[in-house]
Parts: sequence; structure tokens; C-alpha cells
Amino acid sequence: MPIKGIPIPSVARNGVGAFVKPCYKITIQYCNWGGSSNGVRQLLSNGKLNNLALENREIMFNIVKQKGHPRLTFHYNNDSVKEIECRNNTDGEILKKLKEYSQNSGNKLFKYNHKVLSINDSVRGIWSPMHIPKEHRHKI
Amino acid sequence: MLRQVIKRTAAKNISLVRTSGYVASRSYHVTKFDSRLKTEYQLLTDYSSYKHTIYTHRLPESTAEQCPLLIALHSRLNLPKEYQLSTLSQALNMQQFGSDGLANNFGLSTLGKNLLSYYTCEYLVMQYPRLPMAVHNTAVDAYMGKLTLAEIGKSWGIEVDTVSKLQHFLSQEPEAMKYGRLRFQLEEEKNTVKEDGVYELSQVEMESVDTNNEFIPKEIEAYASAVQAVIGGLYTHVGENATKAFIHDHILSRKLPVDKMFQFSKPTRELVRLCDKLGFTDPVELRLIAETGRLSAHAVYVAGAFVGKEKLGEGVGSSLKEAKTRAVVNALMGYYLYSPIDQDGNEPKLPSEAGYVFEEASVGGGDVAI
Amino acid sequence: MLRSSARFSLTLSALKSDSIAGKNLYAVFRLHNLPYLVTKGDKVILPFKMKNVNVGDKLNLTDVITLGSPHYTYTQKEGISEQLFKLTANVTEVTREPYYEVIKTRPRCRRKKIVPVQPFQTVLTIDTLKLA
Repeated sequence: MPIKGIPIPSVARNGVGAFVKPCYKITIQYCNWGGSSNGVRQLLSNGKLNNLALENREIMFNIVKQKGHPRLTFHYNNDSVKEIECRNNTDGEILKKLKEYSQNSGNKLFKYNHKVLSINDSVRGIWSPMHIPKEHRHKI
Repeated sequence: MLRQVIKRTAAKNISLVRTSGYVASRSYHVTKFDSRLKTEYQLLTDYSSYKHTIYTHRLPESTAEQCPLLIALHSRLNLPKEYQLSTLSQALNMQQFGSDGLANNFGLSTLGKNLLSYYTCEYLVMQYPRLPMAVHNTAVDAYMGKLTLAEIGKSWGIEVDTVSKLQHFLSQEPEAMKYGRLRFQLEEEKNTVKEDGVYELSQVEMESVDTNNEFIPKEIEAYASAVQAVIGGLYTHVGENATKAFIHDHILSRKLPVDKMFQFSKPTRELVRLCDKLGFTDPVELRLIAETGRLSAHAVYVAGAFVGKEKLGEGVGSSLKEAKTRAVVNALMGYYLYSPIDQDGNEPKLPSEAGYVFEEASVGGGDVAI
Repeated sequence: MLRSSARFSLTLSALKSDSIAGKNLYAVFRLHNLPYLVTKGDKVILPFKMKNVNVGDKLNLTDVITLGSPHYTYTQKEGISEQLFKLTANVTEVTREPYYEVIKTRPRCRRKKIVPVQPFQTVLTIDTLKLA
């Protein structure tokens, strides 16, 4: 055969075509006795969590009753898990955390000092000094 | 002491199974007793009384609705209302005769695989009609190979059911939970204690080990078949157009590095043959366009592949040979990666779209033999 | 001199064929008056939390000042007509930058104030970029 194919996998681009929310499961662990779980207990009883779960049907909410301080565990589709403490937080604060971390992608936080992150080749190509007419080239 | 004995017998069993399988494949067929089939008989020696009493059935919709995993997956993938949760659950079942007697995803997965390969090939052929066969196959594999599909399955947030019946019972988890997980492990596999960093191959995996000592793990296979089955299920529920849109959104929207998939063995000879085939009268010439620092340690040459006055390709290299080869490869890529556009400058319609018009450019000219 | 409508269509067809039906196309759109040069599939990382959007929302970006292919560019400082192109982006992530601390000092005061900083980030993924 003159040409062989080099097996290279295609690259996922979530958000091009379809978008699948990266956070697929949230585990809310609380204690039925401890005072630090007050906020979670309120959240569970006043129906705010139900509303959140109805708004985010793509996320599975797992409520675990366990002794100790409450904690929120976020599972993302890149196998990463984020554990967030929420001891002594009010229900509003917990709701804020739930909303914030459910919108993450699970990747490590990073600061990008440019505006656009691209995996495509440059449309215009790369400038080359060799393609300038000979008389205009830089002479040493 | 007791533990040692058990270990030994277990090891013996494994070796026994392997030798018997070996003999069977060599000389004659041996009927193996498969406990999953729940065979019943009146008399051990009366073979006519043997019958399998397993009946597979579909999961009732009411049970599937109690599984939050399925509901979440359904809305995560933005599936239409008509798509039943029981079908979604069936798409995640890879066990042939599981202990729960549920129908598996074999049919759905086959259907999905065929739909996938149809739409992927259609898209690729219309995008790059001149792609050589080997590269075309690699590109199809990059879109819908098992590894890619497994990656997609994982990104859909599908979990593997690794919880054994006992653990299930101890953790007081509702029964319906397991219907939303990917089921491919046998009950006895779930119970085996796993050593960290050691992966024991199953019989099927042993057979799939290729010359590079690579194999496709069962989990990858299961994820891939689940993704195919979800697509097959979509087709059975809402038909062709929605399935096509789903495939385009989830699979064909991935970036395909097709320009990195070419491995040429004799590019210059190939270009000459190609130009012959295309009927170019002028000979192929490789000319130096520009150069700098010929006598320095870091020389740069720019070479071009020309036919008469037409430049087919251009390459930059640190030696004349490298620049020439790059120019030739660039020219070949220009030919192979050609994408047609229609008269208005738009992307040509796919044959499965309404208003498709055949155009000569959408058909490749065949491979070049060297 | 061509009339403006005729010039539009001429530029458009040149852009279309030169970009191979939008495969090699870039656009410069403005957001809060800042230009962003994007191709299809790019991630735009905004150093703030965009108001009134959630992850998964689709945004229609209409303030485009440049459309370009390998050899042609069409620029309109005041914005290109929306009928000529389609540029949409998905909000794919609302996250934060890594945590750091800023030490604030005041002149002639020995007290140092340590302020925790973790600003928000919004990530947009360019979903479609094509010419009409």
C-alpha cells in the first residue's frame, strides 16, 4: 500500500454541536443531629433543593445521611471529584455553592492570559520571511 | 491454612477451565453447562427432557421511572420525550443472560453501529471524496472506533455497575438504581477482590490481544456498545432525522486531525504517478524557491513541487531533501484533502438531505498505485 | 464603483469559496467593545461572570466587525449586517481563576492587609461560524 493511515483519535469539543453538562452527580452529605448541618437540613425541608433539582434535571442528586460535618461532593465526567465543605453555612450559601460548582467542568482551575483558546490551525497561516520578494528581504 | 486451600483450588479451577477450552477448540465440541440458562431436566441421562427456563423480558417503564440515574441521563443527552427510560436502561445492559433476566442491548447496539457507520461514511465521503481508503478507514475509526465511543460514553456520565448484590443490600440502595448503570460484569467478577495495579484479563480479552500486546478492555467495549445502543434506541423511537442530528451533534462535531493521518512511503513517486493519472503533460519538477544560511548550522530551504507554471505544493526544511519531501507531501495533501463546494459556494448537501444534487466532484478518482 | 449591495455579495462569494464553504473562516466579534478573533470550536475565556446566563445557554453573537478567509477580509467598523453570517456560542463553563492573595499596604502604615482573590471566569465555545 502506498499510504498508511496513522490512527489518531478525534478530539472532543463539548459545546460544538451538542453540549453535555460535565457535572453529572452531586452528593449532599449531612448529619441529622449536628449543628453544623443546620443549613443543609433547612435546604432539604424548605423545598429549595427540590426546585434546584427540578431546574437541573441532568444532574443526579444523592442525599446521604451520615454523622459528621456536612459536605458537598461534585462528580464530573472527566473522572474528577470536588469535595466542598459546607459546615455552619446557611441554606442560601449552600445553594450558591451548589450552583457554582455544578457549572464547572471539573478541570483544574487555571488562569489563561489570552482571550481565545484554540486547537485549530491559524486561518491565515504563519508569516514567513522567505516569501517576501527578494529585493525587499532583510539583508544582513 | 483454610484460606490457602481455597486459593489453591481456585487456581486449579482456572487451569482446568483453560485446558478444557483448549481441547474443545482443537478436537471436538464439548457441551458446557451454563448455569445462567437455568437448565432443567427430568432425568440426567434423558437429554430430550433438557430445557432452558430463562426468559428475558424488558424492564417495565414504571420501574425505570424510579431510577434517577436514567432520568438524569435522559435529560443530559436532551433525548426526546418519546424515548422511553426502559429503552435507555436496556441500552446499558450488556449481560447476555443476567440474573435479572432482562433483555440486553445487542440488537439496539447493532442497529446503532450500522447507523453510525452509515452517517459517518456519508459525511466523510462528501467532505473528503479523494481520501485514500486506508486513511478513510482510520478516519472512520477516529470518529466511531471503540475507544472514541467509550470516551463519549464516559463524557455522558454513564457509571459502571460494580456493586454486587450483597453490597447493594448492605448499602440499602434502592433496587432500581442498578438499572441506570452500565452492566457488563458478572456477579462473581464483582465479588472478586481487586489488586491495585493488577488487571486480570478475561477469556474474551485474552483472545483480543494483538501483536502489539494491546487489547480492548471489557469496560471500553461495554461503553462503546452502550453509546451505539443509545443511538439505536433513538432510531427506534423517533426515526431517522433525529438520529442523524444526534450523530452529527455528538460524534461528527468532534475535531478530526485528518491531515495528521497520512503516512507516505514513497511520496515523490506517488506524486509523479498521480500527475500522470490526472493527465498533466508537463513533468513534475521540484524547484528551490528560497534559501538562507546554506553554509551555516541552521540552513532553511523552501522548495516547491511544480508542474509547468503551476505550483502544487511547497515545503520548508533544514536540508534540500527535507524541503523537497515536504513540498511533495504538501502537494499530495492538497489533492487528497480536497473538499468540494457547490455552485453557490456552500457546502454540498449530503445524499440523505432533501434537495441533494449529484455532482461529479463528490466522487473520488480511486487510489494511486505505485 | 460598485453599489454597496453588489459589493456585499461579491465579498461574500469570495469569502465563501476562499474559505471552502466556511471551513477556513475566522471572525472578530466584539463583547463589551473588546474584539475577540475566533474560529469554529474555539474557547473564549472571559475574565468575568457573564450576567443572566447559565451553563448550556446558546448565545447569538451579532456584533461582528471582521470576517476573514485565508486571502480575503471583510471589515466593517460599525458592525457587519447580521444577515451575512451566523455566529453562535455555547456557554460551557462558569468557573474561577486559581486562588491567590493580594497583600495591600497603605503608606506610612505598618499594617498589611491580605485580601483573598478568586475572580470568576466564563468560557464560551464557538458553536457555529458560517456565512449566510
